[in-house]
Amino acid sequence: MSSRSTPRHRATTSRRLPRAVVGAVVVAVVGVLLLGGRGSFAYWTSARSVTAGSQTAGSIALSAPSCGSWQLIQTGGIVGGKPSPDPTAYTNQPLQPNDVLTLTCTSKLTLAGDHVAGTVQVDGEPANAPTSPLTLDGTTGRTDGSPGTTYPVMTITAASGPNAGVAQTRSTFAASDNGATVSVTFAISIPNSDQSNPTVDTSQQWASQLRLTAVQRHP
Amino acid sequence: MKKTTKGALAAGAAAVLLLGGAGSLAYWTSSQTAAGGSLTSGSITLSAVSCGDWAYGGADAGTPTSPVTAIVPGDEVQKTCTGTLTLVGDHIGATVTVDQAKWAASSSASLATALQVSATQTSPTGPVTASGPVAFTIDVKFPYGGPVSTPDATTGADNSTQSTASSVQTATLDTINVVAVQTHNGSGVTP
Repeated sequence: MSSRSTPRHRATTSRRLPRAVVGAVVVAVVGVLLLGGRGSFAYWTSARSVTAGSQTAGSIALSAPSCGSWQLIQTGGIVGGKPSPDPTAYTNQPLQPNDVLTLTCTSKLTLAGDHVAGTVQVDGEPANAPTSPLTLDGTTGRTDGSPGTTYPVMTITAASGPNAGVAQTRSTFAASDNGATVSVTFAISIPNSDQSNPTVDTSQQWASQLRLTAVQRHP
Repeated sequence: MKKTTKGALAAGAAAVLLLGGAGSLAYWTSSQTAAGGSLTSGSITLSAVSCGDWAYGGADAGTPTSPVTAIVPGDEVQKTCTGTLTLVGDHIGATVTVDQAKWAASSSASLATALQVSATQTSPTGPVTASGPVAFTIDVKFPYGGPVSTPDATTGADNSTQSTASSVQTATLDTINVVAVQTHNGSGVTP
């Protein structure tokens, strides 16, 4: 028979899977076992998540200052036979030594934060300082010898609380001053000196560069 | 006889012996069943974790007593989160871990950079074998005069962390995960 002419071991071998195929199957099985075991250790866990909330930052803000008109204190002037310390509206009168020009600006202070506090500072841009011999702020000199006023004068008027509506001379503020009005009176004084003809009126230019700064402090 | 015939006879005889022997042998039996009993597994359960309100801490602790509304540089605020771990089993133990607190991506970037946040686990502080509270404290510090990420052009201060009328700066904490892992006998050893 033709079938007997075929060697028996050849027939048996032909029914087996090639060794390479067998090896591949073994590797695949091992791989499945390894992957399937990932993260499946025999122990227990219980987990919870919690939303822990948020934090909001506070703020300090000054509104754009609103300024009145320049006032002239003619310290050396005589009105009705007396020195005239009372300010009058400045209408380009010639300035004399010891005269003081003042300008009052107000700004609203808006605060947020339980512990918000700080100070209000005032300064001007050095590049726009009044032309010599005019001086910024300082103390008014009075020919009658009465005490002068040191400028700038800053008051804070609380909008609420026990001091509501009371203009207090201070530059510090606290959380209770939310909504308060900050008032600053600046001055340009004309010194009593020998220098002549301080005719350059730079007041308007200088005034435009005044700056109020609220600086936060932690109490 | 052919081999196939012998095989058939042998198979037939075996079948007769097997069939004929069913239940008809001369001996006695007595049988009972015993209830083998049952076993119940224990459990490890962490309750929902909830957090209290923010309160001022550090130098400002207790002032004001009302809830925190808005924080400013120099402030420190804290809150406590609590849950309950329930363990059932004669030899059950557990270790509890709390994620470190961090700000979510939705937070205002500059504020999240400025605020230092940490979560400190206060209970349990080690492996446990009994039910009990789970607690941790979240602490947020807003340093005064700390590093400035975005200095103000005029004053040099870091106004980027400040809320404005048009942009409220808020930092939100990411979800904090609390995980209790079962141990055996409170060994503290986990897989």
